[in-house]
Amino acid sequence: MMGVVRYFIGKARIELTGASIEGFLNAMTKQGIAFWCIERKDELHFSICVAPKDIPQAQKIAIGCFCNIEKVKSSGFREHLKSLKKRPALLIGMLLAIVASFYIQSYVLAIDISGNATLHDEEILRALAEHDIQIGSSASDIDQQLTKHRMLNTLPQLSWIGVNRNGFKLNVLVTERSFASSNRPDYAFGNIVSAKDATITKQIVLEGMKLCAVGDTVKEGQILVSGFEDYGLILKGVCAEAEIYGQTWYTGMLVRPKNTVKKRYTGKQWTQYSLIVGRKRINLCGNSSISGTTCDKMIDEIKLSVPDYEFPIRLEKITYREYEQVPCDADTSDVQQRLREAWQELLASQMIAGKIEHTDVAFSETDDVFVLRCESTCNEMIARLVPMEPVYEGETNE
Amino acid sequence: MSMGDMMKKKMVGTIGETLSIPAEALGNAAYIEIRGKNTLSVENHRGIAEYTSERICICVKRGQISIEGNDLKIICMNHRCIEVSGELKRVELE
Repeated sequence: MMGVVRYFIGKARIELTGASIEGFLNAMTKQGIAFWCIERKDELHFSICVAPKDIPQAQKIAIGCFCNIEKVKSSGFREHLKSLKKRPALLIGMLLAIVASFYIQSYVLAIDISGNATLHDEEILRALAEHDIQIGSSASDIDQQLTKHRMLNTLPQLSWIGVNRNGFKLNVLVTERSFASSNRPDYAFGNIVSAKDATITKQIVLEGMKLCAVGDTVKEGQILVSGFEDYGLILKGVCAEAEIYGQTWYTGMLVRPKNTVKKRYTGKQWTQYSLIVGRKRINLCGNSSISGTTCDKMIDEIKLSVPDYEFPIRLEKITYREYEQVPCDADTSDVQQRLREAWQELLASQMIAGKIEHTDVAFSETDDVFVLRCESTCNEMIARLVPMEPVYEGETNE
Repeated sequence: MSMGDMMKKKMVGTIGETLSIPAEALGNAAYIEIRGKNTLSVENHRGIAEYTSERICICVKRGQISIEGNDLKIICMNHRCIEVSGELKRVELE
């Protein structure tokens, strides 16, 4: 503690030369002048530390005791301040840093979002921006309760949101609503109908009364399993449940033009550099204009970050490569293969479950186009659950 | 020393004796405290008579205290107390 006090008061080390060092020390004590760190070099030379303000008085005492005083070194807060005055740039920089550290905290410079699983950070940031909370906003204007109510109205997927400020960083913690998944429909009674014209190949009925058998040919919309279970004396209404597979047929035609174009790079390339601070873009160098020709644009970003924190500053490098479109003739075998693959993908998207058993294709070409005619046989799930119509007036199916 | 001062000192001494107040508390006697083998402090001193790294003589009310040892240093000194550190070998009251 005394060390801290002495640092602020300051200290000076003085060297004494004389025969009567003891007399000098006694006189200093009698005058009430504080001294410390007494170091004896030899019989005639001593050094002590005194406060800088006491040096004139110590000199008088030394003269009285036939000793000689020489100031060797000064240190303390004042000396450090004097040395800083010789480096104005450092002093100004330190003052600016201290002022900035207070001033910067009154603005939002970073937003950290956590707790979201399905909602993307950008969605939440955009919702916050609608309520004037974004990078650069004044932090003192943020009302936590009001922000919470507004955000819950804007994003109904959230069940709770907390917004806390930590310096210039805004911490947003969200909790999303969880919806219990249910495979059961909302209605109480339903029939299983056929989704397509098919020949039934496999049938598993879990609930309801089956109205067809394996091998039967059914039409689209035909009831396969009824929601009414007949027990002889009574009829019981249920929501039918069954897994029914049938053989279906698809025909189609795919067309592709003969003359296509492809990219050929001209070799011309240029780069643009931009600095993005928050949402503001500052073009550093390079030209982003594209005059009439077509270009590929590749963006590389370098983000400024430290562990656990990403600053809202990034350097963006955009590279433009010019190309021209030149006509090219397509390879016949390649085209045929691509058309077959497209047909397979189209069929797969039409089926809930199942497989393609067999496909017949006929490939032809005219002056302008390639044509692929396809006929496929599939074995797929054809059962669809539909709600049963109310039998009596005023009856509801819930 | 004047008559008044002498009487005052005598009275202080008598009161101290009567009330069993330690003499060093009244500022009369020197109070020496030795901590371990390295530190010694003297209160109610009257200045330094000799100061070398092997011997320090401190004046007290009735005589001198002589401290002998190696690497003796005065750590701090004010009008009331002197603190000495070093390898203490002998302390004599003269």
